[in-house]
Amino acid sequence: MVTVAIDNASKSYTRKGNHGHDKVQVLENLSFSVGNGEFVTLFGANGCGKTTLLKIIAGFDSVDNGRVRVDSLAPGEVKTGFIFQNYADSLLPWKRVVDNIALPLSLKGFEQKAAREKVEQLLGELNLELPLSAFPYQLSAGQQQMVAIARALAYESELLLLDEPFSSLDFQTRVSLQQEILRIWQNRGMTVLFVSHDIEEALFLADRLILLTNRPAKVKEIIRIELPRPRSQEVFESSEFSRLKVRTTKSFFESISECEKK
Amino acid sequence: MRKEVILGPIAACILWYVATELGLLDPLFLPSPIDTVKSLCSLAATGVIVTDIIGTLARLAIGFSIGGCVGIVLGLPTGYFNKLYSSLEILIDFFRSVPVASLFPLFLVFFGIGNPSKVATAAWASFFIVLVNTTYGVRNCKETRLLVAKGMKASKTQVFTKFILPDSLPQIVAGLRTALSIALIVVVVTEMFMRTKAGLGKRIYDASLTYETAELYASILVTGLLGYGLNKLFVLFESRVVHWSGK
Repeated sequence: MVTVAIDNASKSYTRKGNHGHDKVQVLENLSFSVGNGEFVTLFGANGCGKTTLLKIIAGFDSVDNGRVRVDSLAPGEVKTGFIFQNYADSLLPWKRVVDNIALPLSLKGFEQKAAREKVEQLLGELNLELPLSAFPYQLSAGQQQMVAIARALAYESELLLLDEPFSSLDFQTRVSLQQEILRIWQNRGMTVLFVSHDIEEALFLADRLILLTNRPAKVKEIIRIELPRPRSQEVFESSEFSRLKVRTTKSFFESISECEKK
Repeated sequence: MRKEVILGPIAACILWYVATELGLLDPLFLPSPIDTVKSLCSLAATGVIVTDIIGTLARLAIGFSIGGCVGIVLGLPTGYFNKLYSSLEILIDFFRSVPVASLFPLFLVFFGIGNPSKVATAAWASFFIVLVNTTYGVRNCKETRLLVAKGMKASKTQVFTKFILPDSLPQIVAGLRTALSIALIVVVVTEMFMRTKAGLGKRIYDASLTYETAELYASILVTGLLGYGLNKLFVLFESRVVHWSGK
């Protein structure tokens, strides 16, 4: 279990525009931290740099200024699972579901048989049922994303980074996967950072919601969500949930109008 | 299989038959299907057509195998190393744009009029198609999958063998399929113009020189069926080997 600390992080990249190269500031003096075993959602407008931030925490990208530490180590040093929005591109269609989940094990040198046994054991512990001998493309969208999540768990990820993992799924599947990710998180106790652009999802899942401003992304507000756990759909009916939603929405639109004034 | 798939071929045969029976065309241009089949039977009975098929297939097999293998072996590094790709890009695009027929005279000079020049021409044509497809297959690997590999700390060798290679396989195999069709065309054409003892191209050309129209049509029919059969076989192979292609 790990903590994430982001300290004054800035990041820009150059983009080819109509008039030569434009410098785009993606993150600016961004600071926040995520506690051990905490479930934090990142909420903000599309294109505000949430994906860039997540990639930096995963160690796929680096900051220009500032510091990012995962358990006081450099990003990527701690076992980190990354769940992409595009599940189909993240799975290996030439491997069966069981071998997809076993991928981190086979990369570590496990024999196929031993790796498969470990996968079955893991899925048993998680009480997850997946068609193991099928190929990913034969599965429903929701099941494919669950395979990606199971694979991250087989890697024994202590930190799980999810980049809008459910946004391309239909409503029913999304609701059931939200429940599943909470169940898995409570079962495993890893630290979770979950990017969402759906306000209800962001509130429903999190211990804390970090509201980011438009590009360049800064922390606009951090909202603590003290809804009781385990949470079910009934949470949506509570007055506390409505209050949080109103408050977050208001803060979100404030950040947008501040941005437009500039 | 759907029943209606045979309707087209049957209709074509009937149309062919009716056209010749009504005498719409001179038999010198279009013999009746019955004469064509008769000619085919006699070609088969004497066994000459079998020798031709074997000759053509052997040249195709050797040329395609050499071109395909070299294409894959050189295409993998070309796709993998950005600098190598950039430095070869113009050369590859140039050479694959040169119609292979324009190179026949050169191949004759280098390899003589025997089998080597025909095989080399087919190999050359296959090579560029497979090279280009392998290169793009490697370059078009899914970025997301490479990030997955990076996230799981896969070694460079693992990234190549467990991610890049399988991810580029559908396009490599698609390249091989195109190369096979083109190589067949090349072999038949070289057999026509570079001469040989046995080969479908030679059979077709000789039949046309001697106005043996029925034999000409019979030979074309055999060549067409050969190409069709090879392609069907390859598609079957493709659906087994790269079952995830296009999914």
